Amino acid sequence: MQSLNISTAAMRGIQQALDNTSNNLSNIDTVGFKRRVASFSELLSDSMNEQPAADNQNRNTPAGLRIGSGARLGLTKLDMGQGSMKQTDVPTDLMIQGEGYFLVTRKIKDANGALLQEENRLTREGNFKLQYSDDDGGYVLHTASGHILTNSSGNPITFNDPVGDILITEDGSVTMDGEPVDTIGLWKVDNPDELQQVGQDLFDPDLASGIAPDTKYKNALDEDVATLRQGALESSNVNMMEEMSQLVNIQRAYQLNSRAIGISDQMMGIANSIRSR
Amino acid sequence: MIRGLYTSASGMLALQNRQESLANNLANVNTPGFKQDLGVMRAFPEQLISRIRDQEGPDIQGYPNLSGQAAVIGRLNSGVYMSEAMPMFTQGDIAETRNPYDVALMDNLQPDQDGNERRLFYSVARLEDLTQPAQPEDIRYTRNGNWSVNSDGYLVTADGYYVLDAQNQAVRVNNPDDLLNGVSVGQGLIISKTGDLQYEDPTTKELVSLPNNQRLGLSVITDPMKLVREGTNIFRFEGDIPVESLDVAEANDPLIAGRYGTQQGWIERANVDPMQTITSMMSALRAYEANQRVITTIDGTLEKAANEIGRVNG
Repeated sequence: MQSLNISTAAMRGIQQALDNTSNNLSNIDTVGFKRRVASFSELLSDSMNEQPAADNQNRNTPAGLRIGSGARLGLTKLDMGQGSMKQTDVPTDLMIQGEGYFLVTRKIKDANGALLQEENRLTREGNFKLQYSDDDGGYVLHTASGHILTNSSGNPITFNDPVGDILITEDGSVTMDGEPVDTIGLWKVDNPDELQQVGQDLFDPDLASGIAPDTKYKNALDEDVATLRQGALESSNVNMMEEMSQLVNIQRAYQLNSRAIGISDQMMGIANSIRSR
Repeated sequence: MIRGLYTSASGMLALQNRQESLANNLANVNTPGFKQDLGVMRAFPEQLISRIRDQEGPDIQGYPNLSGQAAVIGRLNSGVYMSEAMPMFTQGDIAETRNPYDVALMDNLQPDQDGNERRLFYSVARLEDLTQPAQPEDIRYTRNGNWSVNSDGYLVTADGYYVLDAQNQAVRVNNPDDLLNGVSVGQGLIISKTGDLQYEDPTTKELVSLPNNQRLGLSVITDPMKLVREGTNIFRFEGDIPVESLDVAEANDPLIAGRYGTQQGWIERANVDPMQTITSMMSALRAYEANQRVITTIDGTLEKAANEIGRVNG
């Protein structure tokens, strides 16, 4: 009976949507996290040879009875909506207001310390930490994942002496005790769907090692689509209410489909019991 | 007697098909733009039943009763089948998603002069050469406005169909190859009520149309029952190259103008009513059970005929 397969396919999709919702909910407090929205799509339909020829009604339906085969999870779309602000007053916490990403890099080395490649990642997570780096000969801003924040030409921002007041303005210029240090690079990605989500709040921009980001992306600060805010963090854009109502919605869909399986099963039972008096 | 057995069996088979159709509707309760199917049940053609070699048949008015001729008893239906599954094109609810690439299509078109139902659809196509307009035979129709942008910057549906504009060309909102000259609108895409594709100019803050792609391809389909459902939420026009595929925004027809709208950041949900679907499933189940009971009863009667008639000391 095809309806068992139809409902099973739908339930499989719904389960994946449930996984997506639970991932969103579990990241409700992750800084810079962007939620994903699951959406369903219909599966192909099949034709049964029930009706040998076109009906005598004025319709163009092809001969045969069309039976669908259910639904699947079509795509999970990234929702790039802005998350709410969380004031922290930590000078190295940065929040992006508007469109844009930080570019962060990490040097991947082999056992002997030789540089293998440079890993470029985009992120919205702005809780940086000053840490000394041998490679750059100074203090750099690290993300939680160990990547280093870069400036507007894609090179690490280095502080010689970390003692002093760090001031970061809206347009990304970094000063320490009034002395200019560098300018933070923010990159505008028009199509976030082309970015590969690699976990840890990072996106892979697919930039080859050593290639400046401005060959591929526009500077969001120059384009006036983003501003920076010091001493604040962007919370995740997960909305508890919305996720819960989605949860209820898909749970009901799951129940309805399992009920459909139950009914199909009962029908098979009835067919089986024809000769069992 | 045996005839009744087959009649009930055909009923069970038809109800099984109906259950499959209902299960598919229910499975797609969360599919955007999905149109539910209505199962059409039909009786088998009627037969005229007569008793043959009946010398003493009753008189039936209007029929001569000659000896040796078959006496007509009357008409008999010998079963039922599900002849087709017809999509129901009513508008689904719309729900907010706040995603810039979700567009709900709402229409309230009036029937044309001949009373035919009219519905609006988005045009989509699978394209090989994206620089050329889609050929009429490649164009498909959908109500699914849940789109995303692929890695080349084109608007696509969840099943990989390109969204077409009013000139049947793929809509490109993002051009990553060419930062300076290409259009790179991305998430800043603004779709007006009439389907115009625009973006806000970063310097002047004015709305500007996309070059070449001015408007979403919306097609008015008169008598949507003529569409062939391909699955994956896609309809195709079969036969002659179709449909009044007019540019709705320029249509002066008072029955069209002002009677539709696209809503960006919203989605049209499936027009499946889960309550009604489950209820129909339950009634199909009960009808199935009743047919089984008829089979069992007929079988019981046959059993009597086979095993008890002719037995002398029962």
